[in-house]
Amino acid sequence: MRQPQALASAPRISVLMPAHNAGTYVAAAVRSALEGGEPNVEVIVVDDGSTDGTAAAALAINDPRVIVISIAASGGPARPRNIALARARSPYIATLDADDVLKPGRLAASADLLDRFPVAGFAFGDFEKMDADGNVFETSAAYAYPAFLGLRFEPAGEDWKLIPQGELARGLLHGNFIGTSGVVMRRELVVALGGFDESLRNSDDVDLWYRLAHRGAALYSPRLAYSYRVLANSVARGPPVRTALTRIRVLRRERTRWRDRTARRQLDRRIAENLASIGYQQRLNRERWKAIHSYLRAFMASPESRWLSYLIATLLLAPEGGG
Amino acid sequence: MGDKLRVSVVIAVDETGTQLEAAVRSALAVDVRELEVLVVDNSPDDRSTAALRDVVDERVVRVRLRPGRGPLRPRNVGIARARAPYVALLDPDSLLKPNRLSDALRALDNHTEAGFAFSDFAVVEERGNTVQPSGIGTFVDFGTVASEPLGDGWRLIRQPDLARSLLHGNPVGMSGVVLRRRLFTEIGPFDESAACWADLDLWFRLGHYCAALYSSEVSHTRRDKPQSDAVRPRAATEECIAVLRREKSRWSERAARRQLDRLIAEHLASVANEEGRHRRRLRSTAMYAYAFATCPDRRWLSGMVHSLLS
Repeated sequence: MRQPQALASAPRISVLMPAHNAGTYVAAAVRSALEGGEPNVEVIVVDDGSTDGTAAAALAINDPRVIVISIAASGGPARPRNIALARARSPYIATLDADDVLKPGRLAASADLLDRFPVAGFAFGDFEKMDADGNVFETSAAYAYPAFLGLRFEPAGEDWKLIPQGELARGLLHGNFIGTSGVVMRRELVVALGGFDESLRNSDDVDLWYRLAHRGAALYSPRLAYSYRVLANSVARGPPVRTALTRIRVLRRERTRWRDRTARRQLDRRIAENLASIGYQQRLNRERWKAIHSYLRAFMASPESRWLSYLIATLLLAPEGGG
Repeated sequence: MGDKLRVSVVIAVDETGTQLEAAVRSALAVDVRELEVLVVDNSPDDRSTAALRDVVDERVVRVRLRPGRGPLRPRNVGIARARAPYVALLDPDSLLKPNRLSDALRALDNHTEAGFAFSDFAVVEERGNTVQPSGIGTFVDFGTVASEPLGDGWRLIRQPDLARSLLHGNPVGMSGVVLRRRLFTEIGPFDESAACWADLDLWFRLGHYCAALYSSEVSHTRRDKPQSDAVRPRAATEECIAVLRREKSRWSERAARRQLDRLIAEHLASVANEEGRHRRRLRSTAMYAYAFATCPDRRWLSGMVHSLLS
């Protein structure tokens, strides 16, 4: 029996793209994913209540590999990421923010490495920072994380390195060195972990990296995986007190996963830093007693003299002073 | 995170879709919660963007294709993107009845020998008034097709009877048909070269592959529309003849082959008639002769004589 051309096979990589009022940049982001070196890719754009024609801009690419889902504004990227994750059919998923741009060939390279190293749950690379117009002002982000650079890597071929599970989990205690865009993960693993936590309005990605780090190793390449567009209105730059509170929730949750005293102490230190940053914001807002309370909580979380000195400074100095 | 989708509704949008938003909303309003609606648009004016501006629902998935590759490309892309075990096809000019999709899914769940389920439909005019309460009622021969009652108004048409019934007309239509998604992998998707006869081509192939379920209860309403200017009668007829010839190659039984020859001859005669209307006398005569050679019927002989003398 004569049969017409078969249906397209399931994609190898699904790119999950939450998009909120990203009409200016979304087409460039989608195109970069389509040119990621993997022809068998699908880009799932979830338009999160945009009012600037983001969905139309993504659809205007006229490519069957691009699908667009419109939802009411959810207030954070976790919900659209989960909707895209539920939609994905491929063995690998990649996260990409709608204002970032992937570097050519990096998606396929990451998936190839994950094929070769089943012990690794995900692969990521370095990233550069650019402004709204695409001008690069920082050519690497890795140098900002000395704890990451001090990790014990194992060679994984070409410029790739394998970060063993224990090293990865311990490294993340000191800071998040994993840029969100361009991370390629095993879909089944992410689904098994429950996806992104929708109760978090930010740091849902960091929360996932923590959970992934307790489940397996990771692959890292010092080559640039993507260009991170630094915008004044990005989700990561939401209200400082709210974002710090969410980070504290994520850190506290991570603390429950550790029995090791050193690890718990390091997480306490970071919780204290976030409490102190809340105190600083409250000082700026002339909420003196709230600021003192936050510094006190920081000291109780991690008894360091600097929190005490900020507390005393807040008590004695004019409210608009620095913390 | 679990994938519990029951059905993927595929809506292909071309230049003829005039009530897309209503069609999508009718799909979202059916009593199957676990569904996705795939809207695949290759209209030259990107009509889905404007039509679906106010439809904000995570169950609606939109894909936009480069315009101008025919109405079947979006349908096949939608099927390829579907994730549910069942695919329901819906035209942008049709509205689903709220409870009929779940009925069809239940019937297919219970009768695994059937590959697809189809129902009767009503035809409405521009303002929504019914002009034809039973679309399938116009297929006189369909009433004589052997089928077994299954309860809940559904009937099972077994595979050979289905294949045979399709030789006398296409009662299945396109909108409102619910199919098992795996069938598209097993027998292939719509043949994009068959253009406006691709549905008949698919039903022909399915007729040789599986049984079908039929219900005389109306599952959707279809808005009557004038035929698109883009459809060229001569080209469409040639495509239909190609589909019929392909179906003929699947039959060894003489009666079936003769019936298909009859249908091919009728289409050849319609081409001859068109040639005659354009005063291309010799071509018209040749086409009537071809029709007569395919199926010796006196009508084609008289048509030939008429074109020679006129």
